[in-house]
Amino acid sequence: MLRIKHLQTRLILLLVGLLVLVLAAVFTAVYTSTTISAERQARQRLEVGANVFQRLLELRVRELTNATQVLVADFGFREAVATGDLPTISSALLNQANRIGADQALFLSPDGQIKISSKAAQSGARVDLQAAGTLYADALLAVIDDQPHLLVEAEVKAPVTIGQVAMAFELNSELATEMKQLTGLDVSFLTIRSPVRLAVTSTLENYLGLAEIQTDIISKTIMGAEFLSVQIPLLQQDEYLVTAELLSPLDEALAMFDMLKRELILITLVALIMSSVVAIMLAGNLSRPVSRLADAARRIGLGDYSRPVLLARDDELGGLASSLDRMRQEISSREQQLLHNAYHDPLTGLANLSKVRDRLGTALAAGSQGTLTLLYLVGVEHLVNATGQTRVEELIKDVASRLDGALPANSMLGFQPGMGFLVVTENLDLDRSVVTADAMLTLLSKRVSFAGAKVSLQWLAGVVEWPRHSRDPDELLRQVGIAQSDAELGKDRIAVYQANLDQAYLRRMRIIRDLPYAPQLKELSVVFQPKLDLKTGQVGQVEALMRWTHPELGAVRPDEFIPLAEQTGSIRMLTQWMLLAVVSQLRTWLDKGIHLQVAMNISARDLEDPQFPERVAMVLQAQQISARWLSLEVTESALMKEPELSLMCLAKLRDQGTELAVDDYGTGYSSLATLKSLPVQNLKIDKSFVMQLADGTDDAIIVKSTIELAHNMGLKVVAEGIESAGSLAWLRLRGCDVGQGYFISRPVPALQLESWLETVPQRFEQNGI
Amino acid sequence: MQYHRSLSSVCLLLSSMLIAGSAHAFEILVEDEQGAALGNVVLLVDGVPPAMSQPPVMDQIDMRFVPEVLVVPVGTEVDFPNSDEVRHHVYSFSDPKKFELRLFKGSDAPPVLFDQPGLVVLGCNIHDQMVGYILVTGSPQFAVSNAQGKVVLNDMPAGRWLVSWWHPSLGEQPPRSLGEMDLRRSGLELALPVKAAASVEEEKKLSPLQLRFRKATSHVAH
Repeated sequence: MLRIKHLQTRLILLLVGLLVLVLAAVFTAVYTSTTISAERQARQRLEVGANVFQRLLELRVRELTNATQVLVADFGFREAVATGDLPTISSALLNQANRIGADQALFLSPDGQIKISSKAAQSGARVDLQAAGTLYADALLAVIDDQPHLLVEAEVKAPVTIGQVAMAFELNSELATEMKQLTGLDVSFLTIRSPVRLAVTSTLENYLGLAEIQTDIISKTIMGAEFLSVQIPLLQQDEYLVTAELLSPLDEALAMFDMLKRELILITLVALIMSSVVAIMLAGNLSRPVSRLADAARRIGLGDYSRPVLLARDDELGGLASSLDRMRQEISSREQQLLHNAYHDPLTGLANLSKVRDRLGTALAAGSQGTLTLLYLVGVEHLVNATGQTRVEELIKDVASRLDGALPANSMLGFQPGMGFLVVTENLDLDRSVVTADAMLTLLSKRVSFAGAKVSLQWLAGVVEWPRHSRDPDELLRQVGIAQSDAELGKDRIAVYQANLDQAYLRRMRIIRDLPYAPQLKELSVVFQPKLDLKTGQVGQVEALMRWTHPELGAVRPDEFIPLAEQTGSIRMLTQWMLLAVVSQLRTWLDKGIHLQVAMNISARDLEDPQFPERVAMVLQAQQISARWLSLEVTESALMKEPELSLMCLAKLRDQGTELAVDDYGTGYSSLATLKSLPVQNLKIDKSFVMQLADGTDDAIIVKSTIELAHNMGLKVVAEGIESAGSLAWLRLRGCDVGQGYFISRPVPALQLESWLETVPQRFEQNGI
Repeated sequence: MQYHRSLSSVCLLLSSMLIAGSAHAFEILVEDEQGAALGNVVLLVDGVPPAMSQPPVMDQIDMRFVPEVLVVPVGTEVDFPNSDEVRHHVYSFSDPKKFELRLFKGSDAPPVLFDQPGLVVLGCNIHDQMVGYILVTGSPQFAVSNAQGKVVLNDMPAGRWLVSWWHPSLGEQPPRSLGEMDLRRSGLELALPVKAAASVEEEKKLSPLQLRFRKATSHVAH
């Protein structure tokens, strides 16, 4: 079965098919009615023709009868008959026959036998009267010499019948033709002596006529032409049959309608062609836009949103097209949004890690050179904890907009939460990249208004260069992370990735991993560094410092693992261990009669714990140690993180009798005014200021003024990092209260300290204090 | 003149009837084959003494020959008076007497002598329907039946005589003999082989030729 797949073809077939049906019906109706009409006309003509035929025959008979009557009424003729004057009779018959146009004239005896025939008289042949029957009153139809004749007779009376005269008119082609001219019908005369056709005369060529009686009007085909036929029997006697057949050519009647039919066919054809054209146009009008819409939908499906779906129509298709176009635009924008989301940070709208990775990949594939910089906001998690996510997000957005204006050429700025800002810069070498990064950090380090206060944010940066460091985007991202984590606040706030620093990173990871297990594995130990009272030259205080000996890494410096412990939160556990170790040593020393105040570092994390002061008190109480033997040192930056909580803690500790010190003063941003509100007794100046003290340097000015201001606030000043006699002398001269450093003593184990303590008086009193 | 002749004829008829009445006047009834009274039958009797006869007249009244059948002895002159207003042209082509009386009126026409025995058929050239018959005979006694089929023989001696008859339907055929018979029997009825007048009338509609093929014709077109 044929399946039509195309809408257009189906529409055309449907429309044209319908039209063909309608036209076929109309054509059939017209054809049928004209055919019927033609037949009816032919039938009417036939009936009229038959009547005319009869009338003609009657008329002819009447004329002939009159003429014949004239002859037989002639007294002379009657006399000739009565006297048996045959030559006279014969000549009179011939004369009259010629006069009225009869084919022959007959004279018959009273008993009906032919006595004289005008034809026979001429040709000498015998005349054979084979059959005769009355046709009309005075007319007979006779077969004479095998030919049909109309016979008009009259009796010769003198006054009784003495003979009979008959005028014979052959039913010949002449008569048929005349009949045809008058009736418009074809006429055939057929004479049969069953079963032999004796004579056939027809206006139709080669028509033999019907050999049997036909009562109805029938249609028949003669020589390929249609006729309606009616048969008029003229004589039926014994085996003789004479008929006249009238034939009305149906084709002729139909021919009248031929023009109508031709016009109808023409109209039908024209209508068919026009309607086909219209159908094709209509179908095209419908299916073309449909296939255009289908193409458009396919394009959209394949993700090509570039071309708008346009269809300048007011109908449903136009509506569908505009709907499709809306759909195209919305899918396009949604897809772009999705794409954007996939490659952009929702907060800042900047490129995210994926996008940066792609950009790096593209740049690497293009064989270009450039740098990747990671900008990290130090302590961002503390900011979130302190002020809430929303505020920090505001800050990040603000930073993003500021950075955006400060980018070098050929750069792309990205942001990845938890990582920081990423800057991809093409065609920039490492040195200039560091300079650029520095400029950006300087910009970002400006004090900003944040959470109602002006703060300076601390930023670190890591820089890698491709293709120098790697040709793999992921590797570059890993390396820049390492570089950033190598950066440190201060001079080294920008770090360039170095392969060996990568090792350090791995080491840090290991430290972070192993540190929580160090107390259990007894890898931790405590060393003590003496603090020298610069006024008395006595040592009454020591600082306890933690040492970690890793089984594989060896000794790990506190600078290395303490920040990591603070980051990971294991610092509290370390503080607790340290506290126990220090108090235990205090017990030992007090038992030995050694009176030393021991200071230990605590972390900002410790101060965030409200239970911390009680825990300290409990540990001290467990060893029956007075709180005044313990001093706790906290960095000024630690105090800044949770100022209220820290202050509460510090106040409690102070109330318990523990001595407190601010450690590493000068690295943070707290002012002395801030310190004034802290419940501390001691201020430790960071060793970075102390190590290279000399008159006239910035450090010297800072240290000198710090000492003076601290003293004004009633704080004792401790300087650490003293590595030379000069520094010691300078500090003593400037009124610094306590000194600490390698020049005085390295940090040493407890037993070694005890023996060192015995040498103190000789050393420092000698050195001219 | 005519009036006198007629008057004398009547007288003669009366005397003969008287003679017949006193002597031998007999009535004979003639019928056709269907038993109907048959007029215009001529009875001829031979062997008897001739009867008295009036001068014969063939009158024409209302375009008819009166009488239709007239019997005259051989050698008789017959008058043809015309009682109609119109003229007649009486003729005969019969062999015993061919004659022609052209367009005459009243008693203009001369009497015609019939001197040969036989049948003379009379016609009028103007009026074809007029037919009359004059039977010229040598028989001494004869009479014609009237419309009621009655034949009156006036002077018939007793005995058996040769009798013959004729009727127009026999045409030119001679009278047919009935053999010897005694005509004096009262109530004598003669049934003759003559077709009924009705069927004769009917046949007259058909021509001889039609009659010839009549039997064979089973179908006649109108």
